[in-house]
Amino acid sequence: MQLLDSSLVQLDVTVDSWQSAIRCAAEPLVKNKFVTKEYPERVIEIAEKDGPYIVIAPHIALSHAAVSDGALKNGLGLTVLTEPVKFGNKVNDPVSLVFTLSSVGDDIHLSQMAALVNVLQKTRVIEKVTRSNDVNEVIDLFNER
Amino acid sequence: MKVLVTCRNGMGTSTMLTVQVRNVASKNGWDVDCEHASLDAVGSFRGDLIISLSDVAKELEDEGVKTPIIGIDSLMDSNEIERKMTPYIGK
Repeated sequence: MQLLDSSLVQLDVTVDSWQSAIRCAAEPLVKNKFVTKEYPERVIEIAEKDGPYIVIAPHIALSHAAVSDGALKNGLGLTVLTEPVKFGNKVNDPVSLVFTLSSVGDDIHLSQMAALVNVLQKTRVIEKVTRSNDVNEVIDLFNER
Repeated sequence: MKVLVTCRNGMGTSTMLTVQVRNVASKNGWDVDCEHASLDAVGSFRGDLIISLSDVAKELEDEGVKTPIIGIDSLMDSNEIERKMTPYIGK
């Protein structure tokens, strides 16, 4: 299963705030028309209003919102930050990996999410991804079964 | 046991958390019927347990939701999910 597409992966990205992390991480998805350019702004708005709901585990953010916020087609991108940034989530900060998820159906990608969970639970995978400077190596970590 | 896994829009986070809850239940042989939905589904949910990430769980508790609620800090931590679900199993 193809979990990540190389056109949606960015390594060694430097940002100065969690907001710019979300914007940067969404860029390839905007460019490839997975989401509208308003989508990351909606994620930021929701997070500013409701708190950092997108930080789902230590060092991992899953930037996502609804179809009504600008999700156009299913896709998953990954942006790895050079320096981790704080999102305001006491337990799981700072964040190094920002996934941007665009999801337009109901159960369409339960299997995709299951695959992502399985990959992220592998020993030291976050460390490997953070240290890598080769997009193909990162893709392989996520796409191997 | 009937479980509702919830997050704000019922898509990303609750989908991943559902995967984890099902994995934990299956590993332990727990009979868990798990659905996932947005927060809109909480009001009409007639089951045994609600599971969400901690921020949402706190919000639901503050709103006075009657069903027991578990808040999870890390979606990737199966041990945390197992530990927090255990007290509710077999009730």
